[in-house]
Amino acid sequence: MDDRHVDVPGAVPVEQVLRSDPLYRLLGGARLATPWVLGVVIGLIVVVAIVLGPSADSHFIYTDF
Amino acid sequence: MRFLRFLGTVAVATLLTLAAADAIARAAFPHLLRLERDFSATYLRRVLSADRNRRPIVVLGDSALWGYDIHADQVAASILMRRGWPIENLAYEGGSTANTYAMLRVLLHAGVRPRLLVFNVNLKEFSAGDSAYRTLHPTVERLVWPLLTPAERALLVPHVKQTLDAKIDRALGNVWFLYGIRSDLRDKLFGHTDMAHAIRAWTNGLSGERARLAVATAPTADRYLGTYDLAPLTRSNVEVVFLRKIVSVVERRHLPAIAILTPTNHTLLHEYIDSPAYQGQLAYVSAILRRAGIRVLDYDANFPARDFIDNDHLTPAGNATLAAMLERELPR
Repeated sequence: MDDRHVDVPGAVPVEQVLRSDPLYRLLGGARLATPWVLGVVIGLIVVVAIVLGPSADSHFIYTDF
Repeated sequence: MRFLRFLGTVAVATLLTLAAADAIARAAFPHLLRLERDFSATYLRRVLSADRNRRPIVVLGDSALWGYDIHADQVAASILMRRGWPIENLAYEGGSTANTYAMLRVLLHAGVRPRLLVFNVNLKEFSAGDSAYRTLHPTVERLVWPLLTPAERALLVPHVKQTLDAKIDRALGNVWFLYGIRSDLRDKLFGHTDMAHAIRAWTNGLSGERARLAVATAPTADRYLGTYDLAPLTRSNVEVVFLRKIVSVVERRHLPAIAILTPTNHTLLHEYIDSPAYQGQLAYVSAILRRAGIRVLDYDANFPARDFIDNDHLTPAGNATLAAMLERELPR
């Protein structure tokens, strides 16, 4: 008996549920999009951190005047 | 293997995103009316590169010409720019004659050839108690340090950190524009050092803290006790040394130059500076400048008290008057 697959009466395949999700469709399928989306998200986080980050990370702070 | 390919794709996507953001920053970051308070080496290099071919009138000096506590477009230099004068305002908060000399060396080294140099001389900065005495702006210090002689370096107190993380930070800023320009970007976006300071200023405004602070720090005469050291100036004064060095560079390079004796609020500072000793200092620095053929505009006592925010910073109306006075002196 194959214990990796269990038929549950009335169950909907995961793929079918995902394909009904607009974001999943927009991303072209999680398997294809994940590393690219992840990379873009990491890049954007770095950019936002640079722009919004505290100036304590700057070595040319000069506010004593 | 599949996992490595996954990581590689993530890295490529990250780098592409950062490269796109960098390209946008390079294209979109404007040429500013004046330097930001925490201006970066990246921005200064970009400005000097743009100035290399246009021979601007370069304004050097301290917060009096930078425009302390007023908007960039209200500064005298900005007013003159709007009237069509090709001005580059490289004055900055915390300036001094040492800083003016250093910035002059940096811009000449970058190949900028000003059609006219306009700089101010502020007597308060000749006092050893002034925060700018023997101190360069960190960005200028970083750029000018290799150009200075050992004797010149010995006159200054270096502030640029030499730790490993500071070196990595600077190296990163040299190759990555967005990272290098981050302090200018934050100043431009938020009007403050960073977003946290902008939020604090906003909440201070809402809570009334800003108004209370303004009352508590109102410029009264007693705040300026000790600001001006009226001992006779000599060659041992570091600011005098650097004033002479400015004069020497101007002479050697045959640069047309105008020096402004900084407008000073004599009503506020009457008990400290309305004395022969102060006049003696003015005469001393004027003589150094005039001997080299530099035109001296003595605006020291030319402005009424209502034109000042404090001891030597002009209001927007004062800056408009200064712009009109300067315009008469600029060569057509």
